[in-house]
Amino acid sequence: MATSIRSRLTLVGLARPGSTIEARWIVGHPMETGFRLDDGGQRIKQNIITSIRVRVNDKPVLDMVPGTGLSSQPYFAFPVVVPAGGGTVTVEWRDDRGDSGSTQQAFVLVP
Amino acid sequence: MAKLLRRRSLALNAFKVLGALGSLSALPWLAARSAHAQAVPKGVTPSSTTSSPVTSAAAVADDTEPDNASPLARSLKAQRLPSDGIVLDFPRLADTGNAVPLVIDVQAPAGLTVVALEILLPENPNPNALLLALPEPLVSYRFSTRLRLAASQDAWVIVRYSDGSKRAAHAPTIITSSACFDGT
Repeated sequence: MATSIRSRLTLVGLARPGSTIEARWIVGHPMETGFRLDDGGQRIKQNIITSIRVRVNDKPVLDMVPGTGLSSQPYFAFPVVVPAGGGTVTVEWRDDRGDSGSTQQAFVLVP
Repeated sequence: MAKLLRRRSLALNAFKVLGALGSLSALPWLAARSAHAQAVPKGVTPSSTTSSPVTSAAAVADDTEPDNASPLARSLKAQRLPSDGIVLDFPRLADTGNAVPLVIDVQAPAGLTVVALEILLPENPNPNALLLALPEPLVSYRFSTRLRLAASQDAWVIVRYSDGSKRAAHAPTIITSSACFDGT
């Protein structure tokens, strides 16, 4: 399902093959808990990301299952190991309304 | 599509497994609590002939949580998991609970790797904040995120290693305005 929610992935540090660098990912998702009430006293429907998958060159490196205890516009920083030949990091997410999206970022290799 | 569904069900299964662990760990808490309930009347009922009631009451108070601690917080504490190799960077005073930064630094014991991490917020309406699984285990792991807290509490991080052992660390924080229920 198409979504207007945007996310950004940044790779921090010198990407030497074999080294571990930090990836930072932020997504503009409301992460509505489902515990809040609107002005009319009606419960606001829950809308949270239910799964996040990180892959390096199509190899899964991190699976996350968020709950309601994450802030809105959730932010994650995690290590990724730079493969010998470089490549890309892909983050895919999916929420409980069926929205989904993905972000990609390529390693800029440093010899 | 089928692939995505399978992935999702895998993730859900992982959550179920942890949920089952959590329900098992609630049992020691029940036991501890009933022991506590018995211990207090014992200490109080003898009249003031001896000084032992005071000391026993102090001993009990020393080993218990504040009365408002949730069952999950008590059960986590009761498990007495070692916290070696886990460093949490968490603000002592966060003011608003909407986005509290947490940095986790895990160093696995010699010969082991980090397989999974779980962040629990025991005083939240839904304590499961985040579950992480590493398909490619690493020896050290540095992870940060931002949490939403409904009340002042200890944030718990449970780490699972490649041999199936668990370690846990917790860090307290004080919230002056709650998230989850109101505001943003």
